[in-house]
Amino acid sequence: MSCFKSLRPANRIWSRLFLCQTRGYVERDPRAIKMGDLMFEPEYNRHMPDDGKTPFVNLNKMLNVVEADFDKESLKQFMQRKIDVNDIAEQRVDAKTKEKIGKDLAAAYVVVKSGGRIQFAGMDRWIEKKGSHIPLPNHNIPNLKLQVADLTGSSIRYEGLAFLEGTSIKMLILRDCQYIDDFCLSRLYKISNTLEFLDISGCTLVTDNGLAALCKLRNLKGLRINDLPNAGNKALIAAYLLDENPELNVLGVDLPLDHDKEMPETSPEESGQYSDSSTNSSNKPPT
Amino acid sequence: MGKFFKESISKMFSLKEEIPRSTDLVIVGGGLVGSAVAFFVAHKQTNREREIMVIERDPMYTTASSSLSAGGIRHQFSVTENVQMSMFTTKFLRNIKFFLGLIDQPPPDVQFNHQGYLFLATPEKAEKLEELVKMQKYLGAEVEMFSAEMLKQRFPWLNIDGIEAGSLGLNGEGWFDPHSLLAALKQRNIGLGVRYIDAEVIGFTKKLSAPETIGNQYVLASVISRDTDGDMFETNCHQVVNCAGPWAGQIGELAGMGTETGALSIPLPVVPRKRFIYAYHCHNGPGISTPLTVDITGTYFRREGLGGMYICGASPESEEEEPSIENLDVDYEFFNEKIWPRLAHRIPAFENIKLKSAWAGYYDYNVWDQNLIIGPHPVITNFLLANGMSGHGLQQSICVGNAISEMILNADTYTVDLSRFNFDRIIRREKILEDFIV
Repeated sequence: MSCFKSLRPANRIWSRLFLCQTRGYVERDPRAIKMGDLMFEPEYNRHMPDDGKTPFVNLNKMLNVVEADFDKESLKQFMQRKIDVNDIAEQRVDAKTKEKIGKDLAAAYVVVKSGGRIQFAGMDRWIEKKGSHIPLPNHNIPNLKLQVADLTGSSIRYEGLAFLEGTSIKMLILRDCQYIDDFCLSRLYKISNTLEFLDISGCTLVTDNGLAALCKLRNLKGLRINDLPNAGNKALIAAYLLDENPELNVLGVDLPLDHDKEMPETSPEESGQYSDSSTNSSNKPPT
Repeated sequence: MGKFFKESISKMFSLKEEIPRSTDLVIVGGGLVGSAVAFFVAHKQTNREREIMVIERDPMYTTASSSLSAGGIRHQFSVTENVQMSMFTTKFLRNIKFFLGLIDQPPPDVQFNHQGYLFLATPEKAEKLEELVKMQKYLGAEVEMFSAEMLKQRFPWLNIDGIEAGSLGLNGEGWFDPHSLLAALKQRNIGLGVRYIDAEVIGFTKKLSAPETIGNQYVLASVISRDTDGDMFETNCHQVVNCAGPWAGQIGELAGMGTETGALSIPLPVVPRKRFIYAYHCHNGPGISTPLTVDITGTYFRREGLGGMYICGASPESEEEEPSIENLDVDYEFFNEKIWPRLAHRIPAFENIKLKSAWAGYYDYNVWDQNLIIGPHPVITNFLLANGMSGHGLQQSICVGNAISEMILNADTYTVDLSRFNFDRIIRREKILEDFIV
């Protein structure tokens, strides 16, 4: 086709990639080019009427370019970036909706939309997404309090955790969430007044510093921290958290029964990199 | 055959790489600020259109302020741009995997501790502190005011004698390892094509870019540097960015600031000032939730690691008490007489401590108003300044790098508007003063 000659030179690279498996783009747009799993879609000019033909200008835009290396790793990075941006957009609730339906219900929407399930105060059944239908009311219900949020295996992110603000969640399950990291755990301070149980097992991005940030949850009564491969000192940090919050129950670590009294009586300088904060076993040190 | 091959290979690798004869952007100083500038320009530009060269004379960063820093980051400032700059840095660190992560490798770990900063206030200053906290919250910082009783409840180790209130950063504040960030930046920069040159800048060549009749305007035409073997090289360049930290004043002088008449007669008011950090151990010290606490006397301390270690420091109270900058030797008398008594008063557990080690580093101290100087020089038009952060370099480096990249690449958009901090304010004798200096 002669219009290809005036397109940008051959050393420029493709950019617009869409995964088309779940969307069925072939039926919707016959002009799109399908290459295996990837679909190159022409960019529509929204201001011009679409009469089904492929004008010269649109074909030019079809080869929309970005300066990216065209190899497997950077394509993977490019796709991951698209997923990140998409997730963050989906996990947001705008202020107008929040005002209309109230903070607790807006939070419930975010959780359920991300694939999690919730319980309100006073109910004992889980509410979760059925297919793509979200069984939640879309008007404000007074005195509706979100009490439990279970985000096991979801792709909730730091920006998505904004739903916590203004809620009174008592139990939060963030099990096997691959995008939950130390910064997300620091952000949990927003529900520190009401949060009583937290489960962050299996979140691979969490490190020791993230566990240390849980000191902000001052009313926490239960914490489950199984399977945290990047948190090497979780037993020690659990001991420190217990120093400050004696009512805390930590599951998933091997704590000595009385962590205070069973530590060896060596001075901290000799015992290496980390050591207990007290060597006198007579009284519990005030912190 | 094998032996000959090995010998010739070793000869190839012992050949010295020459400093390039020409480049587009020269960055003087390869610390956090210089590497951040290089990173943002390289990251945002299209198709490697600019060749970037970072000249650093201390490639192992043995005396670099970047590595010797206490590593704190806070959003509690009284100047709004300072708040925004630190928040930008926190956001960058939160998304460090996207910016500095290499493909299929674990993201760079800067060991960010999220415990925040605690500023204590006397009854006289409490009202002012509350206003400032309101301003910071308006800008999006997650900071909260606490009364003395609430502080005592939350931090039982604190002696609230003489304290009326305090402000605590609840999210996004804390401390981290600056050298990890520097290493990650440098690694990513090298991957993006930035050249790091182990040399010292010893001069520039200037040429007139505007006629003498309407007021001289210069451009820096080339950079003269001397490498570790003593050989001198001249590199033609289009733009130069001064990221020399404490030594920025000397680089400014080499570029002509403080030498001629008119606007060029004003030198860059950045000098090195030595500051000490002391590391000590305490049994039964404050626990894991301890923030980096800044006392009313200006003394600060924070937890270091999980083994009962803490670090502390303070700025001298007056110009006369400023330590000599000749070397990085530590003054232990300063700790014994000024810091320890005040710490022990504020935190009674610190009456029994054991001093383990100490080190010193330089602040890039802006003698004019202790705030950032950023932007092109009015007369030397291709000479960009990014200096004078006076102890806040770590927190502001990322945003400063971004701001300089915006000035270089697209001069009309800003993430954080830093035009107030231009060198012009020095010429006009205006000060931007920051209340929360540590």
